[in-house]
Amino acid sequence: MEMADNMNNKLTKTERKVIIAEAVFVIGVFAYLFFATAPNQIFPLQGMVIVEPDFVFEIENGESILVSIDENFTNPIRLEEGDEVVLPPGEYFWKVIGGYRESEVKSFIIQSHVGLNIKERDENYELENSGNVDMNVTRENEFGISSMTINIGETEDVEKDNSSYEGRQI
Amino acid sequence: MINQQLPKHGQLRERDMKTKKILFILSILFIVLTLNIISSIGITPGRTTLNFEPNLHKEISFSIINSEHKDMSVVFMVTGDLSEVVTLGQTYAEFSSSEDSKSFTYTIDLPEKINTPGNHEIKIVALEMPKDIKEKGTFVGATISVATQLHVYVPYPNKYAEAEVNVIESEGKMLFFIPIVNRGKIGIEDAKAVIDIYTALNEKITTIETNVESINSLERKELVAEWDARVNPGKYFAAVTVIYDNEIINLEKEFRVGEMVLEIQEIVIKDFELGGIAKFDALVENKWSNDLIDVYLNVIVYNNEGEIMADFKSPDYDIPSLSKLEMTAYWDTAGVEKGTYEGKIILKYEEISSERNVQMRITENEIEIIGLTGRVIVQGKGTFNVNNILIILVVFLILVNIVWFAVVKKLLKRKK
Repeated sequence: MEMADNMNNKLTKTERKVIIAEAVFVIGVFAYLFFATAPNQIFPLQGMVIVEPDFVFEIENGESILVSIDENFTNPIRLEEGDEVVLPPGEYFWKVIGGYRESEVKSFIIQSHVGLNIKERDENYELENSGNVDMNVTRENEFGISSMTINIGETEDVEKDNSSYEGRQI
Repeated sequence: MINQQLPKHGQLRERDMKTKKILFILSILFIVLTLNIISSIGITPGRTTLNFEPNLHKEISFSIINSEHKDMSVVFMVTGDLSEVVTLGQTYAEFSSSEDSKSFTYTIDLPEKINTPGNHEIKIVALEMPKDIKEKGTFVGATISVATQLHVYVPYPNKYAEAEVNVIESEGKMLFFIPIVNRGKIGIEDAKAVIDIYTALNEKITTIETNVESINSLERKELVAEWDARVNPGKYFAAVTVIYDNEIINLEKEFRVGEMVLEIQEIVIKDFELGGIAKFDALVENKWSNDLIDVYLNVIVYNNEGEIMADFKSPDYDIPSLSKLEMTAYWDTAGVEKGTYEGKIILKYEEISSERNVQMRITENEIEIIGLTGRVIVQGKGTFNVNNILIILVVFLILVNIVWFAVVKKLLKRKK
């Protein structure tokens, strides 16, 4: 107490004002840094429904993310930069891990999307599964009906004719 | 003033000739482009599931995705054993190239009773047609359609479970997620799954078990097991036995351990001249513990409108396990202009394909391939961002204070 009084006596009025201003500034900076350096999710947004076969987790101030099918992260999937994962349709919870800090928990939904592309190549057609679920494709022409399985992102070469192709989720 | 803007006759003829030339080039270009027609259609959700309720009236929505952003017509149809309970909101729709997707609805009116228990599948089929199909009336050529399914589950009078297996890799561990639904009227007391894991050569590696769950009627639970996969990268096989109150469901799932089986180490394009044949030499490493047969490289280049400008493949190659091999693909760059183009480099092996998005910077005598797309993006932290500047400021302030109180003040005091 005495030392503080001595110290106060030694300080001029201007110095005291400067020190108070500095203290306020430093506390403000630390408060700002606490929030600004917190691990944060950018994409997907809270509650977002995703139908694209490819999407990217975007984060800031973190090294990895945890994805889980339950809010308690009982069996989490840890992903780091460059990792790829195929998530089946459903609701997922995720958070960002940065050092000893974690972001809040957000959720997103992967909604099944059946997508079928047909490309004309030199001697044949190429069927492509452009959705996010494995697909069963039924081919119908004058010779009858046949079916094939095309997994996510895969293609299947078929004869070039006037067949009808119908894709549906397996 | 207006007369000054009108062209003279000579200029008109020259312009006519130019217009004809442009039209001729455009028509040739159109023919070339239509040689690689892309038809595409998407529908979401792929499936909607309902538990049967007497006289249920419900509106269900779905969306058509115009992933290639083109003008098209879509015709809707309903098929399936309960198709009479579905009423479509509309049976025909048109899309313009600017539309990504459109939402539609259908309503269902379930009857008082359905005698057969189990799944009753109804399909709402969306058939892609050319934009002008209404005027032309007919269409010759291959057609594609996609279906959104409606599964109406009528409960079984007893215990009845349905399950599936999903396998996800995380930190070297394989996580087995087995969603299980009780489709019966009676609750299940204990449900668990036993998973036998085999190599591609059918040698059993281990057996693991999931958690045990009780499942009420029409409830869904998740059985989960974890396997510390300290094995070589490769294909493995899971034989899953779901056991619930003395009943059994057998499931099978093939899965991969390890990130990338095949990896492109580098792509070299030597002695390139714009307009000539570009030789893509790709050094590919097989990290798989088995030989891979009929592997090929597929390179796709998109123009600035996002259309496929080039699509070329290498011959098929056989790559021995844990070894590297050079694969070659050729691209005729006649008519290609200098610039940066988006592209895809795809490695296809057996039923699996791995795909990487790249940019190709094409100059007069060089093709540079830039970038690989990761799936998790961490935003970059610059050296001089606001946070770092603030930290520097605080440190600077502290230093200034120390100097002021410890040095300057003492010096001032001594002077006095």
